[in-house]
Amino acid sequence: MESTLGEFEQLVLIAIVRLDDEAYGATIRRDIEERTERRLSISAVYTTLDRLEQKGLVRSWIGAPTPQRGGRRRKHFALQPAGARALRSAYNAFGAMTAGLERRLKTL
Amino acid sequence: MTPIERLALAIIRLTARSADREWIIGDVLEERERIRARDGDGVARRLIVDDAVRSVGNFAKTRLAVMRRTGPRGDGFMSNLLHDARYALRLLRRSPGFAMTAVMTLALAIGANTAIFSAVKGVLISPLPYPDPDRLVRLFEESDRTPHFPMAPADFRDYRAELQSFAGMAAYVRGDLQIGDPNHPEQLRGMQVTSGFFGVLGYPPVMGRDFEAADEIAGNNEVVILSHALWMRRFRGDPAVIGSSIRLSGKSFRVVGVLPQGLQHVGSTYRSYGHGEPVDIWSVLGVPREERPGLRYSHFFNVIARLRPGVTWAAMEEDLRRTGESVARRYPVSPSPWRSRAVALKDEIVGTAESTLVALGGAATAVLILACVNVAGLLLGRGVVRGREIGVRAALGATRLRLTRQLLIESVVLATLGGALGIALAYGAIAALSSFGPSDIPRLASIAVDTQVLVYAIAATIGSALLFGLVPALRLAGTGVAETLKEGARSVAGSPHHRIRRGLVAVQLALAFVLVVSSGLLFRSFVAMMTTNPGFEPAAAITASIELPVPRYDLDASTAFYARAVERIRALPGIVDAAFTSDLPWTGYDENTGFTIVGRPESDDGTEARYHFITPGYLRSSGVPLVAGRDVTTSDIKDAPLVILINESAARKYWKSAQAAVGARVNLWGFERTVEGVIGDVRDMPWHDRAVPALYYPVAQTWTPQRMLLVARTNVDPTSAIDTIRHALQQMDPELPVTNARSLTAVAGAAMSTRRLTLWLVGAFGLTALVLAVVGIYGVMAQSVGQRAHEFGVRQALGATGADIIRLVFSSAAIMTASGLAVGVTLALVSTRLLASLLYDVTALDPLTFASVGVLLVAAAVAAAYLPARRASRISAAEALRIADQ
Repeated sequence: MESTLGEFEQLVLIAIVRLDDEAYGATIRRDIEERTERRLSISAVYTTLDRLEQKGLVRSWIGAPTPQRGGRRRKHFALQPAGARALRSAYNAFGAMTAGLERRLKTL
Repeated sequence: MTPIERLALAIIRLTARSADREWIIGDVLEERERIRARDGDGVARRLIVDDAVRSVGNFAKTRLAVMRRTGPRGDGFMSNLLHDARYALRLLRRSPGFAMTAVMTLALAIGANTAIFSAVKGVLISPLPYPDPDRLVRLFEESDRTPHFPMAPADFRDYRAELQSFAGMAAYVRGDLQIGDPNHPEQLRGMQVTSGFFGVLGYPPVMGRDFEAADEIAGNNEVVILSHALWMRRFRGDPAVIGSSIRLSGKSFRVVGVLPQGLQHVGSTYRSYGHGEPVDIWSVLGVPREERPGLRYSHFFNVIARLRPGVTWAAMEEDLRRTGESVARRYPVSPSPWRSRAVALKDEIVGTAESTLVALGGAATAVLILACVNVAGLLLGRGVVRGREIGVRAALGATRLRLTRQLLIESVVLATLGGALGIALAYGAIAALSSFGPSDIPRLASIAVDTQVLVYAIAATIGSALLFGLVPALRLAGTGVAETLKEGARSVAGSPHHRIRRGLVAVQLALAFVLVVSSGLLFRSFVAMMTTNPGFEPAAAITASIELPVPRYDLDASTAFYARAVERIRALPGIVDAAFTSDLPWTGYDENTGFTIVGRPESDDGTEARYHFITPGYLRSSGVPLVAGRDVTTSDIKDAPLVILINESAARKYWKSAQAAVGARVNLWGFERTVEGVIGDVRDMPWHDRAVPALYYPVAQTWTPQRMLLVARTNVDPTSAIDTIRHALQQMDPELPVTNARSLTAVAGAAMSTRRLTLWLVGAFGLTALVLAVVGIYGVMAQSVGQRAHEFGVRQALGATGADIIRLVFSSAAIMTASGLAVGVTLALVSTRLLASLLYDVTALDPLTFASVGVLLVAAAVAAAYLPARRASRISAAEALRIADQ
């Protein structure tokens, strides 16, 4: 069954698309924080990423340790086909619902 | 990384899902680096703390969601714990009055303890900031009459050459230098040190070299070493300064070295800046090669030495003894020989601060115990409310272990809230202590919250949770099912709880007695110090310090300068009188000399006195009274007959009376002088019992190049005249720096500051203790009256009067109070001894203080028991029986 996405899940998936090869916890959080101007807890980002992975919407792999991370490794994320489909359908639904309302929605 | 950041990181790690821990911490660190590079440390620190707070929030949210799905028993130990904690928080929210009282009590106690611990650790426990600090020792000389003296220069020379136990040995004495720049004259804080001084400390110069043996020879010693701070400030960190010449105090000096950053001055209480105080410049202290009697009599070398590796303390003392005896044999000094003595540098520095901090630490610990006892009492009191709930839980199958755990977790939740608030309070208190604390406690400026302090605070929190939580938890959880349900609503907490609570209140009273007696003793000492005539008048006087550079000022020039300066300053508006002196009262000045009385045989116990230098008018401007004879005048100059003033102590000790001393002849430093006047005594420190014998030379007749202090008496606000005085002096000699301008009241206040702070803190602890004890008595009595309403009703029905009931209630309060006081008196008899060194004019076992505190506590206990007793007496029989049966 195609799962529907929560709002925060959508934001995380969009950030992964934008960041491409550079998508891991710190950059995903930064991208969302800077664009939406809200403060996130890093563990909340991982809670969502773990859930998305369990649902088979994203996959992850472990990178190499770096010195500025105190020798710790990164966990990278990328979209799975199911994730891409879910995001596309959410985007389409949003587009369909907002079609013709762009100006009014902006001035609300 | 600061302790706060480490703590925040630990919280993030703890709240992260274990599988994600590595990436989460990595991400946080990476982000911190990025923000730090962009916005600096402060923003990065706020960010990481913010992260920690958010992850706690996230943790609570996700875990609670899990629990809601699986039920409280679903997820093993952790979720049970969380369930209990959540339950405890809900309970606390339901009784905000209890929660506030308990949390604030704990916060104050934990905060005070943490702050005092950080001071104790920073001042007493932390190692000194030198490599291998435990091998550093201070060497002194002592004779039968004079303990703990600095060394005589020739003795130092011989010891340095002959002692085997030390890898290095050096002497140091204060020696300020001036930059006579007319645009910006500056008095540099200077020390004179012998060769190898920095090597002994383990801090050789980072550039250039240490002083060498050749520098100690007269004529070779116009070389200086700069502190890192001075090098940066005056020379902009230019390495070319090494080898260059600079003019200081009218002489030319060659810069041979620059010291590393962070070198702390060893310090001494005699002719030196204190430990850790900034020193700008270091010049050479010459060590005489010749032999003259004066070089054995005059003791002014502060000596520091480093033990050779492998040499034990005992072997070193033996070496000191043997070498000392050999030196004393070769150069006999009358009346009694000098021995040398070693003191570990740490002990010498920490010295008197130890008793203050031990007293404060004891008081703070007592308050923490008291707070725990109080919260334990509150918890037991709540047991009355909780008993039924617990009985029901037990009936439904909760084990005793499970119940105990739940109750303990409630204590932990309380303690955690109190601890968190307490740490926040401690931050404020420590910051205040380190910046406004008294300057005579060494190393206080460097205290801070660090990992150890945080660990202490957390340990205090957990410890107190166990201390106040364990007894009530065991007590309540142990109440049998049948028992609680059977007793029903009436007196659930029963008498066993009550006995414990009464015991706790007695403990509170005992601790309160100790603390209040301690603050009473300190208060009496302080009042005695304040009301004892200081011997001078600090109010409405100002002081400032100048040092006339030797090459430009000989005896005639400096006499003329002082006379002219006094004349000019007296003419300023608002100034009544002015004079110069070598030292101010209560500042630790300690220069002494032997002398002989003409016409008397040299006595074996020696005639000795502290010596000071003054200009005419000193008595009037400092407010020291003339007791007999006359003051020094402007006619007492170089070619006039030599005169001297002495203080009353000297007159009494050597001539029996002031009148008898006037006109006596004394031989001082090779010249005969007439005692022309006797002046009032001024004690060295306000808490000293008496003044030492003292001599006052007119500076015009005995010039020695030294710092002199202006004392000016005003009839306006003294601080308002500081600038005009500074201006007047600067106009007379633009190259002369004027330093340390302040009111004499400030000088006197600084001498008292440690004692004032101790009094305030112990007083605050005592007051807290008293309030807690009174609240405790009231709580127990009110509760017991409530529980015994039924009994009182029956008694009244059987004919007891209101007065009988009041007597009954009071008698039970009296037993509690009496046992508390008995324990308190015993404790106080033992513990006030710790205060002995802080007391003045009152003994540690002062009966008046003990008695009045006893009366105070009894009165407080009566007041606390009065309301409950009155309530009990007014319950009518019918009403009481009805209430009790509800």
